[in-house]
Amino acid sequence: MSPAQIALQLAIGLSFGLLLFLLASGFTLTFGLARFVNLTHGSVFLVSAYVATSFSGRGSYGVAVLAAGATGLLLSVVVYSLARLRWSRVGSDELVQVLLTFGVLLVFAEGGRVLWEGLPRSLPEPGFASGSWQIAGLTFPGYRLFMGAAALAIAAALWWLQERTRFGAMVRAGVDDREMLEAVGISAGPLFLAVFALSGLLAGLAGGIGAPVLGASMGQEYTVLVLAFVIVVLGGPGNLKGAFLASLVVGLADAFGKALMPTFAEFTMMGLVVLVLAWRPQGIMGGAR
Amino acid sequence: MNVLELDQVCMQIGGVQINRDVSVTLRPGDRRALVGPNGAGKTTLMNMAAGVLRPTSGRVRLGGRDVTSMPVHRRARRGLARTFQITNLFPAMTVAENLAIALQVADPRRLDPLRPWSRARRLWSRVDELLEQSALTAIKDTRVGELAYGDQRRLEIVAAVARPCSVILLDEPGAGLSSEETETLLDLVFGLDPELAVLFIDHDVDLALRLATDVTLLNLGEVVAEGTPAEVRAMPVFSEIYLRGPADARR
Amino acid sequence: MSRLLVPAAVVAGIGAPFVLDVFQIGLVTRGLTWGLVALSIWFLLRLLDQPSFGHAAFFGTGAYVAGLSVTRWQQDNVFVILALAVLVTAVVALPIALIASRLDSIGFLLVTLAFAEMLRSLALRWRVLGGSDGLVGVTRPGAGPFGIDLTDPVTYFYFALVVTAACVTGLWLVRRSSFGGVLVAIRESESRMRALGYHVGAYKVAAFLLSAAVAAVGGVLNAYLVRFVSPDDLGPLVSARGLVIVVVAGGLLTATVLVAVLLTFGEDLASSHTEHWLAVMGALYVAVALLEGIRGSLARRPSAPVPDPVQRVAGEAS
Repeated sequence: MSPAQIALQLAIGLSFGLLLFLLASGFTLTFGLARFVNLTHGSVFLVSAYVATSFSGRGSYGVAVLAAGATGLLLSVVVYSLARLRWSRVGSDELVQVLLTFGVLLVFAEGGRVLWEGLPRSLPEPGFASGSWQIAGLTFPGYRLFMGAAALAIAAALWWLQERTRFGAMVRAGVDDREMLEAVGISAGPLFLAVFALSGLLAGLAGGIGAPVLGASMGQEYTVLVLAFVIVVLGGPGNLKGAFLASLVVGLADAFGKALMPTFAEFTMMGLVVLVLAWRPQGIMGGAR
Repeated sequence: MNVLELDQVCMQIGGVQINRDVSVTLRPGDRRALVGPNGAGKTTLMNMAAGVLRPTSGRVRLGGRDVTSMPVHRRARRGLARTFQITNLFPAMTVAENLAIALQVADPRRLDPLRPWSRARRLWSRVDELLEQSALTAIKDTRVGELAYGDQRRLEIVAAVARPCSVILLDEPGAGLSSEETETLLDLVFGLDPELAVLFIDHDVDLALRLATDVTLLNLGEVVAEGTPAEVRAMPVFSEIYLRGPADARR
Repeated sequence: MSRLLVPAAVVAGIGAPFVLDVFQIGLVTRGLTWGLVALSIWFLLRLLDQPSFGHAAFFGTGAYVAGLSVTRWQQDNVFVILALAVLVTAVVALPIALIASRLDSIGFLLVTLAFAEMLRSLALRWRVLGGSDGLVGVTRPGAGPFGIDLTDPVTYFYFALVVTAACVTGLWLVRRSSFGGVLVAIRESESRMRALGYHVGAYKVAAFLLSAAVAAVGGVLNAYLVRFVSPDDLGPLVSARGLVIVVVAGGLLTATVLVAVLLTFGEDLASSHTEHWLAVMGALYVAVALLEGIRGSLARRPSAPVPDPVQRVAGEAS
């Protein structure tokens, strides 16, 4: 690969990884805080992406992204409400969660298929971030760079939220030790709801921001879900820093994998997961904060 | 030959130094008490001896052989037995089944996936023998989860020594028991085999010093005193820790 | 009540072709293959408390081996193919078995699903495996020394029935064996098993491989039933179905197979009534999840499991 190609794949990989982080961060937070495996997350991304593609008129990029975010938030709250119906069972049993959220995923995905006829759709790149950009003599797809930057900005906001606000402190404490949280008097319910809503918002934003390059197509609900899983397992549950690093790794592995050996791209990703877990079962950053 | 040796072991987790340069030696027949205030690093030390934790530095030797990187189950096969601070049995299984699991470890027929377990006649007759020897026959079909705590503790020890072992690690065998019950339990262990080396942790210092042949006193992760119970009791650092209270000793 | 299930099932199985038409017999046969997937999931769940959401990986691998055997490898003996499928699946499952057995139940769940999905995307892209079209024209092989004709639907049904019964019996025996006892003890306390001298990791891997093998057998039977193998055989729907069946059947072996057959009829009914049958199945899964207390009836004790005292302390240790 020539340096230009390498640089290109780096940009693609990193920007994709950053986008994935938005998706995975919500997943790992609900996971770390509520011990909740939210398989619906994939279809939340999908439906939000479809929603974004419905706003493909001129100058409506911002609206598209916001609508996607709102969709994601709403769908996640629906999932949470369903789970709340029987929280005593659902909250403590991964299998129940898997069945529940997978069932909802099927429903959402089918809903998406009905509303958008199951056809792949896309969103045009917004004027300010379209075309190719020249940086240091190398050519990059402009929107990818913007996507990465936007995701990074949101990630920074998320980090600020987790590290600098009371809300974030409660989440961190809850991830560490859920029983203590309740013992200290912080009721878990509203906190969980907030985290679910946040994770949905992030997934929706990811769907919207990613729409111009990734589009929205049936099947995405599974592909992004798997990547989110891998990120969470590699980065450690509830661990945002770990998820961030793992997202970048996964994004890069995906980009270079697809460029170098398209048939075996995902397979080598699995190989990567196997190697990392064989070396450190607790993930890249397991245990550490 | 030393049955068990911990040679200058250190344990650091995260940024915290839990044990520093700890050396402990056990010879056959030794009964060594590991004492010290809360947080002194006793259980961590025991976990290093057992293989649950790997020391950051230092070596662990079992019967002269370096086992520092040897996993738990292989140390167990080499004669190292242990019990846990929180009772660690199989609650859904009966007393007899718990013992059977302990007894069949080295029996190749345990791997047979098609022969019903209930048909392993030789195994179950050995279980019956063991039950008789330890006066547990009456409760052999009770689920362990339903046993009285003292019986659970006793079962744990019986199961731990069901197969020949050269050293047994007891982590707070008396936790949750009265002094008399603890003493009975410890006497049970000591009476098993004169060659058996025992390393035990107990919060009841008087009891520990009364029953042990040797004592290692830990504080803040380091060995601060070592010797026979009489020797250790006479040392100034012992009085500092145990008469003024652990919080003071840390100052 | 459960005593009656086995003879009832046997009678129902043998008598089915006299009561049902050819199409329905096909459905029952398919139900048997789904039952095998469910059983393979049940095995890990009941004995080791390990929830897998990726058994489609093994079902699909078995299916692909079956498909390739007749379309590319000129293999015509179904028994040889079954053995080959089990072998290949065991090899494929090994790396996952090794890492998954070291993870807690959530990690196990995620990794098994990720693994299945990755195999699926491989199957989608790789020409050798037929790509997104899958393998078509999969004919049924011969039955080796037995001179029976597997192309006949009723004969094939009986063949699948016998194979399924053999697997059910095998799993039942394993559960009652000392090996099964060891697995249960591992579920109760890994740390104690290690302290007693058991190589826990090896047992978990062995159990995983056995489970994968059963799922693979299901895959082979399914491939020859529908005469078609596609990447969807590796998809999450297969795994989810297996899981739902296990849950509803409450962990009873024969009941698992029966529920599987019922579900096949159910899905067929749904798909003939609406094109949105996937959403209907989704709603069913949600309902089952909300109405059933899964683990309670299957593997765990009624009270919340006590965290393994050593695991808590050990953290970083092996």
